[in-house]
Amino acid sequence: MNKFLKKYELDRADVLYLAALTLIGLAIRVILRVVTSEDWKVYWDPWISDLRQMGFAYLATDRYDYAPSFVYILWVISKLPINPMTAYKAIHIVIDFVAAAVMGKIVMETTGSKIKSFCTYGFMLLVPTLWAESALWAQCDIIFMTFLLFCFYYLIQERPNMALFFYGLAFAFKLQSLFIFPFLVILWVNKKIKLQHFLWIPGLYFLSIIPAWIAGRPLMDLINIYMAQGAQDVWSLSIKWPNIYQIIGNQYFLLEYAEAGTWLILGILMCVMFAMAQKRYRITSEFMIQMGLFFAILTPYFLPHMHERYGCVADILAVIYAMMNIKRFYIPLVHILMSFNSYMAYLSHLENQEPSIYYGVWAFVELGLLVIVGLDMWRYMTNPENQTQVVKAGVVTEERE
Amino acid sequence: MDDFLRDFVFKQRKFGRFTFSFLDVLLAACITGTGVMLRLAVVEYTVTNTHKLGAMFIDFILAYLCAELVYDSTRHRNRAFLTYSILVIYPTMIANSALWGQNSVYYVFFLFVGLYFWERGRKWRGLLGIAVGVVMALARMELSTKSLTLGWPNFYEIIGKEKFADLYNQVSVLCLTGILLTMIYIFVKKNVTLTRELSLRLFLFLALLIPYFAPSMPAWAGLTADIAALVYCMRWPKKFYVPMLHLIVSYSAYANIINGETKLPMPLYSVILLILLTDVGAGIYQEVVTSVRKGYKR
Repeated sequence: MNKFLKKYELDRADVLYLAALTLIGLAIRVILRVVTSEDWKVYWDPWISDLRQMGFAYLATDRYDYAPSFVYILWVISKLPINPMTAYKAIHIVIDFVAAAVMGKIVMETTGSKIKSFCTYGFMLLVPTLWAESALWAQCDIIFMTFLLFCFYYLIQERPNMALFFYGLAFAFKLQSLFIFPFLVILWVNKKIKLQHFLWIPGLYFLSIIPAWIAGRPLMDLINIYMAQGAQDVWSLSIKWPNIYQIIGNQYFLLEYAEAGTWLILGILMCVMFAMAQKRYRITSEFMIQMGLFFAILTPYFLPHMHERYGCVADILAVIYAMMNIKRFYIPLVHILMSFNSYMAYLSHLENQEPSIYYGVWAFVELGLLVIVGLDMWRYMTNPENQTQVVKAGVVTEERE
Repeated sequence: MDDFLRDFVFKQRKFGRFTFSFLDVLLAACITGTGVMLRLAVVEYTVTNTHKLGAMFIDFILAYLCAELVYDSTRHRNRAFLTYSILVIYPTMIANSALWGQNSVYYVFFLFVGLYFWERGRKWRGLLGIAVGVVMALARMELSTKSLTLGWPNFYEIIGKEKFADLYNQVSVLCLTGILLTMIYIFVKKNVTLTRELSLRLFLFLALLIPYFAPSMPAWAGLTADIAALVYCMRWPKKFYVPMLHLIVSYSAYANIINGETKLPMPLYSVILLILLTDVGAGIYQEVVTSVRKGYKR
């Protein structure tokens, strides 16, 4: 035991804490596993039943509108001799723990504090949006979020190839990984990533659809699966996510604003990226997390048809951000509360009713968080101590280390 | 004659270890009388039995104990007097015992006895007092499987009180345990010394935190924090808003149950409590950082 502790530079308090929080995290999830959510009843359960009956041939059909990578997991579950919901939730619960461990590693890398790192691991297992997603709701966002966390981990380690490999995996599972894509562009501008690294994104996506293509689903269908997904759930401009549409009204100009909103966020992202590309600054781990968090809040704030779960990436990045910058401790606190409030609005079947604190109020709160993180970023970029080069009229005029 | 009277009123007289002026005694007597009258004015709302009479009596002892706590930590006579005076006429204390007959003061008293001994360096007696208080509090709780809160405006007022009540009853206790273990872990690893100041901050923080996340919290779940907030404010007068806001929240929770309505929505009170929790938590963090720095210097 002592050898083990010495090898990993741990003491008894560390081991006890990690063991206790692991058990608590597991116990929470075991309690919640019994809930059968609507998503399970309407989607995953029928899909798994079909997979059981049809086998791999199911992949040739157009009965699923999720990325094929996710359907392969369901196919594996359909082959297991245990209750499919238990198997499904167990897989996601295991990934919860992996995500918490990666978060701990990221905090260790960025802060160098073992205490903060272990507390992050413990805290992540208690975060309600995380246990609600995997153990209660039977949602699958933790898969792409874990890959995104690996992406951040390898970026911090200055291994961009691995980072983009994991980003590619995240994209192969969920379109929502694109929320933070602009931050990769900024890293490319700042020479942290090479263009060829981006090839992982289409490459892995293509690889992921090959089995479904072989099974018989048309290639164009598979390439456009995210487009088809986006065309669903268009009955409201915001599907319980507190964003700009919860302030201006989410039930009017459904078609017009849906298109305009997409163009609007593209325009906003272009402006932000342009502004960020005008200066050359040190890209620190903290700044990377800051950027990730900023785009994870900004993009769903203006994109139409955002679901209640789409703050999940910001939830976890906010925790890392607070660990790096303890004065910003309230950002994860507020963001997770807001996210969980939206989760509960869906899970409580509130339908068109407002939760106890209106979405509009939360939308202003989210705007406040966006402004705070944005200003933090701006202060960092404009701080002369952080600048390495100045770009004038597209030409690098000054360079300093 | 005038000078004689003035002298009589203000002259300090020593009684054992205490020093009093006539004015002090007058205030103590008058405010105690006011406290008694306040209770008598509302006592008929519920049945008066020995249990309730005992609670009303302990209200006064608790007020005295808190005055001692304040005096011990501040050495400020006026603040101690003020603490006793305010607590004797504290609306939630009166409403809890005399009006509503909930008699929560029994367990609250033991919690403060624990704090009192702890602050005086008698750790085991302190822990024993707190343990007795906790056991008494737990014995009063009734777990509801229908609603996550029984009147206290906490986390569940925001996210919804009824859905998954049977499951969240267990999950919330686990989450609370996790949060408390994380706090203990940080304190142990950072080698934080539990000073008198930090003990008081922690006491208030826990009195706010536990009812905020624990399930089935009744409307009077904030009584401990109500009183602790006043002691906290007497120790750090700039934090005057903590007892002020907490008392408003707490009394509104009483009103919501007793009258069946409040003028402001309950989720608003939950947000206020969250802000207070954060504020007190930030104070603890600063105190811990200072304590750790001092430790390094030593």
